[in-house]
Amino acid sequence: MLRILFITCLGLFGMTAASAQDITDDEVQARLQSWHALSGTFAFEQVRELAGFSRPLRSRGELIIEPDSLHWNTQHPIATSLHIDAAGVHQIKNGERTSIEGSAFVGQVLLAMLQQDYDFISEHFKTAVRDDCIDLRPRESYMRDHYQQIALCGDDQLQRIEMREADDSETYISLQEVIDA
Amino acid sequence: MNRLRAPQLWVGLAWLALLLSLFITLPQSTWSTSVTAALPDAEQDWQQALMRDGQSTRQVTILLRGHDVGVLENGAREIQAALDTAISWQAPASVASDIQRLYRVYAGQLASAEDWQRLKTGDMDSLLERAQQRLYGPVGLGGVSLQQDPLLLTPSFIESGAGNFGTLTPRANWLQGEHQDESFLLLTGRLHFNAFEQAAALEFDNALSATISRLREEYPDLQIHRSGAVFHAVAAAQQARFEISTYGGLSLLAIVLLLIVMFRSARPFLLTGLTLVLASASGLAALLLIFPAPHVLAMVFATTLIGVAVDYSFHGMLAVQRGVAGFKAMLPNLRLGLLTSLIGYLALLVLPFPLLQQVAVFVGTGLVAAYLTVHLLFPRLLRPGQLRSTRGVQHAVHGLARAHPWVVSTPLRWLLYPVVVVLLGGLYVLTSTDDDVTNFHQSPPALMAEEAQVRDLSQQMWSPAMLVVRGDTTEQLLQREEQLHPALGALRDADDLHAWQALSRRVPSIERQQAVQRGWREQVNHPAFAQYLSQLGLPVAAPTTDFLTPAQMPGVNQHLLTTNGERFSLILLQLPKGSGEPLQALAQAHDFAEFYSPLHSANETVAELRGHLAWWLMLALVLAWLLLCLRRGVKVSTHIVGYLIVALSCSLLLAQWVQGSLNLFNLVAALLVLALALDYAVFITSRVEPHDVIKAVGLSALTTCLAFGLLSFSYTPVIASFGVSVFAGVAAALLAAPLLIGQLREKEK
Repeated sequence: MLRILFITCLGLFGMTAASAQDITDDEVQARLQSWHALSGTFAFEQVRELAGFSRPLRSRGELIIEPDSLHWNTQHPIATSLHIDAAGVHQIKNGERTSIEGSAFVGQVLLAMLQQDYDFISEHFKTAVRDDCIDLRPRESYMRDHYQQIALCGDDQLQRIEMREADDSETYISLQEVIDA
Repeated sequence: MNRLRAPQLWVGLAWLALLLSLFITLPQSTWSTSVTAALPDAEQDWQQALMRDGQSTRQVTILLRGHDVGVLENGAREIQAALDTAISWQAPASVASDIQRLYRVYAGQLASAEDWQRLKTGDMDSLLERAQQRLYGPVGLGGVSLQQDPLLLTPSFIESGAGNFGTLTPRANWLQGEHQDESFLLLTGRLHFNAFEQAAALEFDNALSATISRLREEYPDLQIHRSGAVFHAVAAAQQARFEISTYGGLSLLAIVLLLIVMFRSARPFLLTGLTLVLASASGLAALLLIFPAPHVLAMVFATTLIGVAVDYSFHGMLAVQRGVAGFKAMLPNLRLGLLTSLIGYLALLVLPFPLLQQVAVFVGTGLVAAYLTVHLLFPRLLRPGQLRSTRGVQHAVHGLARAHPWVVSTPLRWLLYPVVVVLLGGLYVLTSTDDDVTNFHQSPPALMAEEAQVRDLSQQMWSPAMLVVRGDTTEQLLQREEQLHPALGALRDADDLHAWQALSRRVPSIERQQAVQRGWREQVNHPAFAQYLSQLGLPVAAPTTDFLTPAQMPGVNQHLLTTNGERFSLILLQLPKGSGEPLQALAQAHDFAEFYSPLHSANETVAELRGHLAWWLMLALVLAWLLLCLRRGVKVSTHIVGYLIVALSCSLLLAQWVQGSLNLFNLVAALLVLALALDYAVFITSRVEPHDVIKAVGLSALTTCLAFGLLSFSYTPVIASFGVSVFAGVAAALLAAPLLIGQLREKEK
């Protein structure tokens, strides 16, 4: 009797989990589609909490989102400029562009997050909806070497990105649209 | 006819044993199709070990493009499943993951060559600026501990090419890339078998082709391109098989037709067939007994046996018709022809060229077997007067025989020497040579195009040339490689080198790892560095005594070689076309390094062999002259040598005209022309009945011209070269035969 009850519970749990996953996937897509697509110039603030360090690293600057690329200009505490596209992350110094080798995947992830590219996200991450956030967990081991989890959060558009790296370091990026005067 | 005497019985038994050995060796035989396998062994042990190892020949890369990623992934999965038993597929994500994890453990002691220079010169500002950009930028630290590596040297080391796949993204079972806004997948793997094992290679190719056809039916836009030595090996083997069967079949057909026209009887055809079968089987048996993996090209070149064996059987059949005395009178000439031909092949056996040695063994044994067939079997299988030529042939032969007195009465034969002088002058002035082994074989254009597509997108294709570093220990190899890093970097900056991959770029020497961790710790009092550490509140970790070694790193075997107790490391290069000289100069400046290009080395070997062969050709002429002097006298022998020079010169000059230059295989062909023309000359200047000589030499030359004329249409350049040369030489020998007729008459007087 106990065995039948256990199997029944297990079956019901499985069905619930399966339907929850379907709903979650649909919700993720709906949530992403409900957000306004990001385009133009945004002010960002980044807080990085390194594992084992009590003092967080704060930086801020400007982010320019274009259809196929991003310009990430850190202004404080140091000035640095990065161009990010599907081919990877490129450093801009004195007008010259230097590619960071092996950064293609990181570049694609950043681009997909900021452009809310559902196809890319669902291909590479398991997704779930939590409060006002969409949680992304890498599907492949190589990606897990970079990120344990990423959360895309916001009400009517993407406002915050939370990234937990492989060594438990955490990075929070908040975005605010810059409206030209 | 008499019963066999004791020596003949023993020879016959030995011959039978040789033939019976085929039943054991043939089913187990493996055939090589690699061009390098046909070439001489490399000079040094490590070079031989490198060629034997053939790591690169097992590599297979398959590119999928032209569709969305979902379809590409389905296709990739199907291909991997279909070939799973024949190949170990690379799992890039897991490899990348293992390497990343390994590097993290040794963070703070691994630095790129550029960062090492900065540390050495105390350029802390740029190192600190780069570290801060990383800390405050969106790209993570890759799991590297900041305490262990405050300057973030190790993420930079990884990104400099140590632990990634360039711009390609490692996925679980393939690499993914983008090109012109289009995704592509690359499957890479290593074959479980040698690419030149024909049966396994063909099975693999068939399985892949079937899967590709099925996928193309399902997804018409899907493009699948292949790269790997195995595909070229299969194409070469199929081409060789097609050519052997086509040209062999056509030659056989031509011989059958000629015999029917000449004799209107099946007996000559059966006897000639018997000679050919026994000669070929004996040649094959000897070949398989001596060489464990003979080359398919050897069989193509061995078709020359057809011409000589047919010649022997015609002489035999026609002599049997003259009775015992006529047959016995013919035999010494056949032996003299055999002996002089064997001298030519002896030259090939002495040369350290596996392909030519195989041709020599096959044809040499085949010739002896053809002689034995004629000597031992023909008198027992054919009776005098049993063969009659057709009336047309009789008329033609009588007509030619009637021309003898006219030929003798004219000073035609004295034209020989001026002709020899003119032809030798032409050879000296007009000929040039080409020893590029890449011209010896030509893969189908479609396969070459596929290879180019994969090469463009995979970024993993290395030139055949490499830098080889010698050392007593692995640590010494790594240290010596590191000595070359600055010069290699400078060559890359000067565009003399596109890229290079060395073990020391993935695993620095322990000496370098110690120096790196000592180097940045020594700078902790540098004002900017001290401020950086203080701002971050970063304590500096104690130095470690644990170092990364090559034994821990997956997939580094391709860079290391040990042979006869000596250790070598291989630096792979991507060279712009034809730019080996700066690398050669770099190697010469370091006594532990050597620039090695298998192709360049093979070209040099071929050039050297061509030189040797030219000398052997001249020596064979001298030996033939000496041998002939014993039987024909000095004057006739000198005239024969003049005749041989005419045949050889025509062979080489026509090849030069058709190809634009001469190669090694034209000289091999010349050696065969020498053997055939010598045979003709021996009989033309013999006491054998002129009608029989005209028939036998004419038939032999016609069949040989037909067989080798067909070879000149071969798609494989070396086979075509060979065909053109033999055709031209034998045709010249036939046309120049009247120049010898006077010698025959003079001898008879």
